[in-house]
Amino acid sequence: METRKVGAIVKGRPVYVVQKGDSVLDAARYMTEYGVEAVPVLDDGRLVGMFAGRDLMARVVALGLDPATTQLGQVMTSKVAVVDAESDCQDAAALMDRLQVQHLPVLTGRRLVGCVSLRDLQEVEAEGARVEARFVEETDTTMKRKKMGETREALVDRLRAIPGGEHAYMCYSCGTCVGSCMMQKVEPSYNARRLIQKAVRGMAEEAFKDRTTWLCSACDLCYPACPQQIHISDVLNAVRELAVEAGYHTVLETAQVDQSTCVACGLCVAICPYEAIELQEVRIMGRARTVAHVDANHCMACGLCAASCRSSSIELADSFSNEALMADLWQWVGETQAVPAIEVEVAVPAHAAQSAPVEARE
Amino acid sequence: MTDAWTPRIVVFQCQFALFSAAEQEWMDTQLPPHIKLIKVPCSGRISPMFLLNAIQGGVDGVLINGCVPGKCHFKEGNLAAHRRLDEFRRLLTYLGMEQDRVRFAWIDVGERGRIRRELAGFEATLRELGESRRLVTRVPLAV
Repeated sequence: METRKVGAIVKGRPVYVVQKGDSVLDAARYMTEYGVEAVPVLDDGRLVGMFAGRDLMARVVALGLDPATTQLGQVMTSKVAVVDAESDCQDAAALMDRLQVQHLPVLTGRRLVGCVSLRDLQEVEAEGARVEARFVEETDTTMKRKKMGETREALVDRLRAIPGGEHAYMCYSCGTCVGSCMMQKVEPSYNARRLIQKAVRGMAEEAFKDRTTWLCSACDLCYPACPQQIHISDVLNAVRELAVEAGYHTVLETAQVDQSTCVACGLCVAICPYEAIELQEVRIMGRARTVAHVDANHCMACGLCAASCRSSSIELADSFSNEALMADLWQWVGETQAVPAIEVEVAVPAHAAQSAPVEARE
Repeated sequence: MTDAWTPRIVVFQCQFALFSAAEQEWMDTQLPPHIKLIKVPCSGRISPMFLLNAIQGGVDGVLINGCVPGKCHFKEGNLAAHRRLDEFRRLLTYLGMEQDRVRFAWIDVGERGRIRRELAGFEATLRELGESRRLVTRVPLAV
């Protein structure tokens, strides 16, 4: 920070002075009129002292002197410290602090050019702090902008480096893809156009958190609709790969493998449209076994694997699991059972024949 | 068989198959009680075991409602469903039942109103076929 000179503060200000021979009353009226708290006292053009409000109180009023008859020469502070106009404000403030005064006459050579107060110096200091704060803020913003620019460049470059992602720039945001997308039916916030713009503008975090990134199932209904012939699902897939790289995870409830019953037949591997399943060797209870493994970030939770599995070892979570769907079905079957149930003959083991009658399983 | 008899129908429906929101709402809320809607993420999710469950539960017909081939949300789920469930239909003949008890309705985006016609047509077919009693069991199958 640039230090300011004392001379700069007093420059352009009127110089208020009183003469040694003036009465205290005149001086007090003069000071009140011009709103100054202390004035230099001159004698024949020479600086001989300072007269301040403090002097008035301690040396005139407190002693019961008559202000009208008392001359300034009797009551002024004659031992005066001065400061050169070329001095730094900080030095002047240090001097005031040391001498316990609040006003200093400012000289250029031997000429009196003004009077500087402690308040002046404090204002200079506060202004300096403000300037400094603004500077820091501006620098900070510049750095942030620069950083954002870097993120943007980096994200777009990385997006274009992934096969399929290179067309992102061609999107002019017409939104035709959104109109033809089926995903809107189950996820109204789904918007491929917006996601592409997020990616192109380098909004990495927003793009990666967007559900759109994870919900595109590459059905490609938007592809023939796009006037720019962008293969949108490829662009979205490229964004997804970047998101996975950045440590984000899918928002879908993806397929789960029950490793204890999986026999690694590979039917799910063959049928998965997203190549998200592979056979992997794992150690279960100390023994090496091959089981199916789902790459959660590529699984779209369509359930083809669950339908193809012969041992129900691969399943969708919760609402679309075999159990949930069939429980729903059987509940309805029970409620709407119009016909009487047929007799089911239960073979009773010989040893159980004498005991309690077998209850129908229901 | 009396006139009061109505066939029980289970509809397995791909959640993307009906593009019209009004139609989907009708399916969700206003189906008659003898028709059961089970929504699945994709028609490819429908395992033959689901159909077997339905038939063993005494359901008279199963309607598979998916998207037209080439417009599957999951690329080729409906083709997988068709392969798999068509095989199951042929198995029904082998078991002494009518293939027509399993019907497909591949519905395109523009075919508004078709699902109601399909359901009505299917119901008429089932009325001709009569009750499905052959594989009925009282115990839910393990899936």
